[in-house]
This record gives sequence, structure tokens and C-alpha cells, in this order.
Amino acid sequence: MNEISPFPFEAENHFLFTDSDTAHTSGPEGLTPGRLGIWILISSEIVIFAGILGSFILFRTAHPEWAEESRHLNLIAGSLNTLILLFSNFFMMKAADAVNNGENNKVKLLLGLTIALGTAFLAVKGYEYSMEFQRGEFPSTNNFWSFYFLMTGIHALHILGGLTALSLLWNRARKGTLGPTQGRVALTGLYWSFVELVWIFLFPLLYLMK
Amino acid sequence: MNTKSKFSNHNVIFILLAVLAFFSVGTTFLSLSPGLNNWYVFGIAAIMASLVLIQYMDLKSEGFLVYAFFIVPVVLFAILVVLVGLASPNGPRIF
Repeated sequence: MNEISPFPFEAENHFLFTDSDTAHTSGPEGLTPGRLGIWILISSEIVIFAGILGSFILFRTAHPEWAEESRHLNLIAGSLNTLILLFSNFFMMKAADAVNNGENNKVKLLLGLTIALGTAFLAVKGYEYSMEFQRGEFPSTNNFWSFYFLMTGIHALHILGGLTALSLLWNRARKGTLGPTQGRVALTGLYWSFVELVWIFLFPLLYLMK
Repeated sequence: MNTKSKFSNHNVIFILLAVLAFFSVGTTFLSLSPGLNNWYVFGIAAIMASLVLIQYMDLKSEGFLVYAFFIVPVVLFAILVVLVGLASPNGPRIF
């Protein structure tokens, strides 16, 4: 007789991130509920960001003078944040691999690095905001700055959400209780990659577009 | 794909992303026309996004359903941009 798992959702996800052919067998097209849920979340996030980015592109093309405003942005800080997110996502991917290999100490270390870099991203963004406020650039200054603070603010909130999920996972890894929920590391990695994906478009739109 | 090759894939993709980001930032030191500059930086962004999607988000091994999740909002976005662009007094003007 089959024993019923007290963690049916996690138990399915546990097998999701192995490389075996049996990995994707529980939902539509073999997607597990967790992975399906994350893709639905990402899909809805695309709608949100596409709307904002699309509006910005249309306004930006109608207002070439915004190029002058974007020169006030700190390119070094923006570039540094790009590098920080690239490293952060790289460590996240490695953490998901370490989960598959059953290397708990490595998972703990890599999740910690991902969290540290995510926090560094927010710190750099906070520094940028403080410099802009000191120069008198606020969301109410003009449409460019409204878009800038809206887009980077929403993105920063997504980083914060990702950091919360990562912290919960890191705490479990630290206590050695990741076990049945280890599949969530790769799910969080999927979300974290999406956050990086958004920044890949935000950075040139705000800092590099002429 | 075994875990080992996936692991080294991540390393290669990370290096590619870092190099592309470097080239992207490098445009600020070139005196390109605004049009050329914008196509260049967004071309690089598109390549970087494709790498993240295909390799990190593992889109290559997903089925039609996930592609649909991705394609439907992107198509809606494209329609929105084109319609608003057409409705603007100067007509569609991207870059």
C-alpha cells in the first residue's frame, strides 16, 4: 500500500529538478503544479512590465529631450547593478544545481551569496535614489522621472519579494530542513531569472538609450 | 542533459552575459548616432534576454503551454505598441 506523503506538493517538486525523464509528469504537458504556478506568475508579470515598458518606449520616442534627463542617471551605479544581478542569478543557478547534487552546504553558501548580492543591488539602488533626491529629482519632477522611479521601484519590489523567498529557503538550508521543499530552490531561481530579465531591458532603456 | 554539463553551461552563459553587458555599456564611449546606438543596445539586450530565457529559465525544454504563457502577453504588448504608435499624430516611430 502506498504511503500518503504529508507534503504532496513538495514531494512532487522534489522530483521536478532531477534530470530523469520522470521529472515532469504530474500536470498539463508534464508540468508540476509548482512550476506551472511560477510560469503563470511570470506570465502575469510580463503583462505588467510590458505595459510599463511599452508606455515608456512610446513616450521616450515622442520626447527625444528625455535623453538629456537620462544623462543625469549614474551610469556606474547602473552598470554595477547589472553586474551584481548577473552574479546573483549565476549563484542562484548554481544553488539549484547543488540541490540536484545533494550538496546542502554548497546550497547554503550559494543561496547566501545570492541574497547578499540581491541586497547589494537594493543598496546601490538606494544610494542612487538618495543622490537623485539630493539633486531635486523626484517622481513629480517630470514624466521621465515618474517613469524612472515607477519602473525601478517596481523592479526593486520584485527583488525584495525574491529576497524574502530566498531568505526562507536559506534559513531552511542552514537548519538542514530543506529536504522536502528543496524543489522550491529551482522555482525561486526561475523567478530570480525573470527579475534579471526585466533588468536586462530596464538598464538600456533608462541608462543607455540616446 | 546531465547535471555536469548543465553546470558548465551556466558558467559559459554567465561569461557571455558579462561580455555582452560590457559591450552594451561600451556604447556610451562611442559616438554613434542615436538610432544606431538604440538598435545596438537593444540588440544586445535581446541576445542577453534570449540567453537567460533559454538557458537559465530552461525554456528550451518546456512544452507548448509555457511558450503560450510567454507568447500571448508579448503579442498583446506588440499589438498595444503598434496601435498606440499608429494613433499618435506622427504615426509609428520606434527609435
